[in-house]
Amino acid sequence: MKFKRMFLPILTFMFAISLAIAGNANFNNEMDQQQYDYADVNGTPYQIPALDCNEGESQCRARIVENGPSYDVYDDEALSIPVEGDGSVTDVF
Amino acid sequence: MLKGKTQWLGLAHTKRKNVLHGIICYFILLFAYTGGSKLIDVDPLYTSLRNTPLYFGKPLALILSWGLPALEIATALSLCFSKFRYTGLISAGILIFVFIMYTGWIVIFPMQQPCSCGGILAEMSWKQHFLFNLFSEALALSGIYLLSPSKKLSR
Repeated sequence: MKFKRMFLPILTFMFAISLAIAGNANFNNEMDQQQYDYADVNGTPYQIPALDCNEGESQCRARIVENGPSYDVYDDEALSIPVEGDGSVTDVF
Repeated sequence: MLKGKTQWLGLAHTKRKNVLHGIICYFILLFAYTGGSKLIDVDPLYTSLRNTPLYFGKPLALILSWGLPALEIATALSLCFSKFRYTGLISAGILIFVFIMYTGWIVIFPMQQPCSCGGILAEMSWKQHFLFNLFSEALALSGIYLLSPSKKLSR
């Protein structure tokens, strides 16, 4: 009886951990780069959904607050790969 | 008559025990999943903490991004063992309360909402997340009440 009382909770725990591993395992950082971009908010990377800035060589910018300032957008959290496009400002709020 | 009443009380006791076990399994699933998800990939939580309107500095965000998931896993583990279940439920109640304060702050002050990208629970909006936390807190309080020493339910 004591074994039964412990068995189900432990099984639930193992199931939850397996779910977490299966659902969140990210072996390819390129996936993140495709899904998310990062706005340079005063030196801190601010994660935003990936932007489509059309074709171009100007850096994309994003506005994260209504009527707020716009920020440069990068492809990576290290803010080293700028997202290039037509230089338009995208609202992401 | 007395036998019938005893049987009815026994049935109510069994139902309360089943409800309690359901609540315990719910929190084990919730905290093991969210804690495990955050530990596997710490960066989104760190970024989210840095971007909140609460202005966490780098050291505090780093400590929280590791400490919070560890606490969640510990809470889930403590709920697995009958000896520590009561402590686990209280810990769950306190954790959920902190999350209610956090999501409530973001809902009330929506000027700079951090992106909640990634994870199943993060599919919700911040308002939905806030309501979900309220529901979980109600479950935690119910579990604490059912497991309190005066109720004499089996741990």
